Amino acid sequence: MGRPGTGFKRVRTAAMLATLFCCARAVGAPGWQGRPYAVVMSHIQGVGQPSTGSTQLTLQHDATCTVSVSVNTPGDEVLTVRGSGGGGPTLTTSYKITGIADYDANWLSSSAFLTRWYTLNGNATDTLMLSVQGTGPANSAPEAGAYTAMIVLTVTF
Amino acid sequence: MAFEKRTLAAWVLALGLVMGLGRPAAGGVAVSPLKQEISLKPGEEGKVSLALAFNNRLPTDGPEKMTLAVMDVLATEEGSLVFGEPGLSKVSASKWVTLGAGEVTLDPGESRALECRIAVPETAAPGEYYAAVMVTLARPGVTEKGVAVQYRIASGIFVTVLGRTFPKEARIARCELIWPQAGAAHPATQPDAPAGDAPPPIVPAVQVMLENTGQARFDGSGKVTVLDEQRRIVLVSPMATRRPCIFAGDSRLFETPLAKALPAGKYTLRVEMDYESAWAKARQDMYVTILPEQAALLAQLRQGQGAGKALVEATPDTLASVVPAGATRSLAVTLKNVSDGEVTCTAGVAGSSGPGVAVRPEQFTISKGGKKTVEVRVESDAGTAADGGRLSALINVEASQEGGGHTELSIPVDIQQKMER
Repeated sequence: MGRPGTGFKRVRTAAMLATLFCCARAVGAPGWQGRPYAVVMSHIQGVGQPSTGSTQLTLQHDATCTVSVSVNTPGDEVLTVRGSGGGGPTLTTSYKITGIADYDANWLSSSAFLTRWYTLNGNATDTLMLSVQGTGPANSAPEAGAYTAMIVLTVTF
Repeated sequence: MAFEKRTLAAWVLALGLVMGLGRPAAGGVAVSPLKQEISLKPGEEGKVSLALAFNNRLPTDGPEKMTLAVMDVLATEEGSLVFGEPGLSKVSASKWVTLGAGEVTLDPGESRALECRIAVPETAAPGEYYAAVMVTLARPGVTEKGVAVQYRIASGIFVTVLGRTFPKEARIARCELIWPQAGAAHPATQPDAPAGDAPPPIVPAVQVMLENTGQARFDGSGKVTVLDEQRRIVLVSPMATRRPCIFAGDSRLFETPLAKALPAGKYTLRVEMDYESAWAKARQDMYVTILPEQAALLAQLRQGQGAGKALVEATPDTLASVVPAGATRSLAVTLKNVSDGEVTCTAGVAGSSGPGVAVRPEQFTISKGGKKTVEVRVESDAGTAADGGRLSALINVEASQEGGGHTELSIPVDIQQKMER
């Protein structure tokens, strides 16, 4: 038998360790699984042909949550050749998210995509497939250049 | 005593191991909780905690940096959340929240609790206020061609400033019946769907805008009851929204499809919205005329939805009776299984203009070709009868069959309540 109070200290220490361990593991949800992703687009093969790309985004959540789409600066959602002066050539940009119950059946215009939000139900790990399509003018080749865009995905209650 | 302490320690450790190891190994950045509440008096300070974690996926992963900011959170009429500059909203708590850090860098496997201090000004009026802590991964995806994706996680902080009780208050700001436009495509239509997959039709819908006129949030719900010219209930349908929680001062759009073949004529759409008030509901009547071409569209849509072959038939298909004030009547409906197998039925009162209508039994099965009599019990109310009132109700019978078959049957009930001489 140890000194009076030793047992209590052991219990307290054990409880603290267990609590810390629980916290460290339990905060695994909700959270994005992995680093920020980029959707790399294919080359445009011909006049009027779209360039497409997609990537998987994994989200673990322990309760129903929503994912909304936004941009840091208006226009960021449109595939554009971004030079130092701005206002470069653009591609008609469409998006869709699939792989979840609340999926997009159609391509959404870039402006419609910014009003879209997705509900992910319950305790689950969902894999969202983000697809992007960029289309040049119907009757002429798009200007050469690196077309880029940027979107923000926010998970919240 | 020592044994008890050791037992307790073992239990605590076991609980910790079960809770900790029960989850799959997680990778990425996590924020918890997604929302939390605190109640404070004007001039009082409090704090909440936010847990941040970086569960690395690869052993080679380096530290993860994230920025934190307090933002206003606003909900649109459709229910999506929009995050804006702090302090602009009338119900913003953003200016009251101070974060323990504006930037956090977590090593792989590290988790950290972040303290958020909330100081309510002396001048703050009682009510609910909202803010969100926005955690943004400081390293957005980078691509030389394509779309970069930046991740954020927003954790809500709901502050209730104490001072008095907040009754739930709401009103119906708008109520309308929307008919589909000719040639409109259904949002779920896939343009690249294989030929032969007919797109599902768009059905007319009742839209209701419910406005929270109080100072406390609530979860809204409701239903629309459709009455014909004889004031008989012909349809009861629940109103739906993607985000039932409505913040103080916000409005939310609810919708229900008019998914029933109604003949041309005049109808009353009686909307009743529940806003978690113990005393009242928001109600509004809307009078509509369904034109012959609209009735034809409803019938066509109903057919297209696979209303198809019924599993059960009801005899009679409507119930009507005269019941003396204060008396009770039992009316019988016989349901016949007209399918090629056993059906399971659930019967219930979908809507009623007054209390005192019940169905029994509520759940039963009918074998192939068999019949089942259901009792509809009507209890006439003396007070209503004194007004020469009528009691209208709608009995719904859902029939389902193993293998996926499912149909619904509605039986209108029309009771004339009569004063005894």
